Amino acid sequence: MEMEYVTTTCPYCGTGCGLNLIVVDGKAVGVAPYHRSPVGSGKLCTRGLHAAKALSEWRLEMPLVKGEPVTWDAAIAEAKKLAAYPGDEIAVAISSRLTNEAMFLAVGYARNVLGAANIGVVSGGCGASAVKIADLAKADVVLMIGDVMKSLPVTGNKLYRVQANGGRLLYLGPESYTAVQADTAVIVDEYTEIPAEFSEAVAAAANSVVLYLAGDAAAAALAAALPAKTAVLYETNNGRGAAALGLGRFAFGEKTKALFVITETPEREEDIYADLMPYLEKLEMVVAIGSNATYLSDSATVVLPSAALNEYPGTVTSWEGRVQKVRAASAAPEGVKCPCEIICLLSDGTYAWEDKAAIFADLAAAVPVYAGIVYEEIDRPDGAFIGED
Amino acid sequence: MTVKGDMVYAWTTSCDIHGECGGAVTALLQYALSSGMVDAVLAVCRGADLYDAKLELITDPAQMPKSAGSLHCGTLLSAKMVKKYLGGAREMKIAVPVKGCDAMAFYELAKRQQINLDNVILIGLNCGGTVSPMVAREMIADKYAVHPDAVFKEEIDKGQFIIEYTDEGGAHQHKGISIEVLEEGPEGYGRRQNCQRCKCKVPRQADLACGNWGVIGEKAGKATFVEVCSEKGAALLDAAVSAGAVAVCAPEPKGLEIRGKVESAMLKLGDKNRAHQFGELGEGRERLERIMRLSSRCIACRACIENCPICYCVECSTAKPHLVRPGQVPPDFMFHLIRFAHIADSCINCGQCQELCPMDIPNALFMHAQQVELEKMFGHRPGYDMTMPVLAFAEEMDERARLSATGSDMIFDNVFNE
Repeated sequence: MEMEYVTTTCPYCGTGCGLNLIVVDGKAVGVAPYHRSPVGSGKLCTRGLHAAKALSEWRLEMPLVKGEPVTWDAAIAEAKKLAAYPGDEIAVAISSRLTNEAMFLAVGYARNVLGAANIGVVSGGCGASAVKIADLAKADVVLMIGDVMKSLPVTGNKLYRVQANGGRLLYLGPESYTAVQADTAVIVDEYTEIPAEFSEAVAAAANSVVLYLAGDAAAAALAAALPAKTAVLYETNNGRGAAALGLGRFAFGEKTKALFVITETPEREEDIYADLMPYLEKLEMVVAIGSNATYLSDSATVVLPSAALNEYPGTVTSWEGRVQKVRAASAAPEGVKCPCEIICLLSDGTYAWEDKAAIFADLAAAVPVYAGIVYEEIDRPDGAFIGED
Repeated sequence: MTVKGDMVYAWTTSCDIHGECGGAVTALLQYALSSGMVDAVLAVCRGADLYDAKLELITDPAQMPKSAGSLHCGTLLSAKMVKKYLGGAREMKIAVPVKGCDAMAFYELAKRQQINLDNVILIGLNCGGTVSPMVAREMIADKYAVHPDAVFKEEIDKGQFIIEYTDEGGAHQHKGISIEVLEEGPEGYGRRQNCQRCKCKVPRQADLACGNWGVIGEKAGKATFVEVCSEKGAALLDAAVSAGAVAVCAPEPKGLEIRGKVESAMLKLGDKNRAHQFGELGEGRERLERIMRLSSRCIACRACIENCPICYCVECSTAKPHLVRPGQVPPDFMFHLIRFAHIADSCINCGQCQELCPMDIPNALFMHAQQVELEKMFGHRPGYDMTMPVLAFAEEMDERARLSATGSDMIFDNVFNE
């Protein structure tokens, strides 16, 4: 019997907690705390505790064309027909749970090979944070808009230090877990303005922070008008990374006839791609890459099964802009390929896939916030921070 | 022939082992493995850096030296890992180096038939407490004014947390600060709260109890003080000595005395910290209200249950919808009452439920505070032997008489009475 700990980053929310996957005889069977994690000190919420099984259910294990199993060659040949559509008829939806490297290659392929202009993230968000997670505890007034503590529990954890240090937690939003934790809560189902007492408290504070979820446009609009530093919380492990690549919220265009989509849906998460289903009837072709079956893969023209997030190495970027490693813990099922390799095949080798450090170097050269970060440096437990937008 | 109760200075004879204080622990573990006494060693190894302690299952004796050296940021608990991932040592023989809390956890899981102790050799390590890695890094930057990455060694000695580091000029420096001083501050520095309350400093429930306390004279720093605590421990030490894996000599009589003094000073500090921390928790209704208020942070993630060495039920009562309404966050207080009722008599104060709580609920403090009260009432001391816990069996008439003698039929009143 062989047992090994593989230190990696949680596949769920944008906090970026480190954890140890326990790998027995090549298979991830459990999670052990990674006390050295600069983000969570080993603490994990429900989702992180189940990270070992997050990506092992309902796996897609062979390429499909119109629901029938085919060889990889046949599936790739079929998928390449997508390039015959004019760029403005192709929409591209990329998962914000992929590694930065896979996402970067996918965006390059979508822009340069498919010529698509409509590229986005389903349920994506936007905005950059002006604070780091370690700074939260130092704030004297924190305004939380929406149920932020429940959505990103280990980020919420840092807010208890605010109270312990004598600071105040203010809350605006519906009845929720976060409302219970706040010192002052104003309960509203929809927020259209900041209550006067909150505006005054934030303005009077020497060090105030406003927290909201990256996908919450109403909260973002309110936060923008406040003289406080923002913490924009992404609900997916690499939502910040997607935003850094310029990927906004996905929407079908008027002319869309074909869809190229990459999914990654861990257990316990909603199948956000179900929302795309009503539009599929209008499309002529759907190429879906994903590690597990979704409503979408059931009806796609071509399905290309990919390795899951804990089966290939790479980096992800947390809401605070901390770039951390995800490491391969389990072997991918036979017959599936790393998403980077799939992009390479679709692009006839334009994008090399094996050397992740080289892909990251290309990314760092192309995306200014990553300038100066070297892949190997990210190996350190503290990771590396992206620069300002 | 070594027998239970014997004490020796021991050190490795191998030049490959560069352990702490003569490397006896690493050598004993290596011998247990190479001689076939065990199939594997579940060792604590240095991970990414000095602050990262990682469990490794070692089956090749040649790999043993990499586990040498102590890591005071190793706050992990090994026993539950053996239960969960190594089949409770039912099918394999293993040797495990253990702190006091690990040793206690092994006993409590063994009582509950979750680990087969017959297949486990426990090498106890004297432990003055551990510091959570991220707390240590912050503390070193703040109180020692040293970059945590510049530290290459840390130790706890003579009541101080001492670091050795490379300064900007490249020279080696060391700096120590009294643990009591570090822990008095408002920042929460120093050892984990549960370590501050711990009174299992020399784990004599292990097969051997090893440490550097009491090693003086010419062997100072070059040997480990080993107390033989069981026949199994005696057999391992004897065999390792006969095979030439470790060498031993009689301890200095003065060393014995010093070791006793160190241990009793630690125990006194533990008592003082218990009085202080339990005192802050308040009494009676005030204590209950404080527990309820802090428990309302709970998100029912079950990290406390996952990591608790007492919890082992397949069907957890906290997941039963007639007891705790499902999906409610924070959950009903019943969630915590169930934990208290099921665990408190056997809590070994390992601290995992608190250190790993994503919402910073001082779970271990609550549970330990109740355990010491239950110990006073029922005389059960968890983690030291195979005695069954209070809740394992009860003579109904005896228990009714005992309860009646308290003057109230309300157990909760007795625990929380003002």
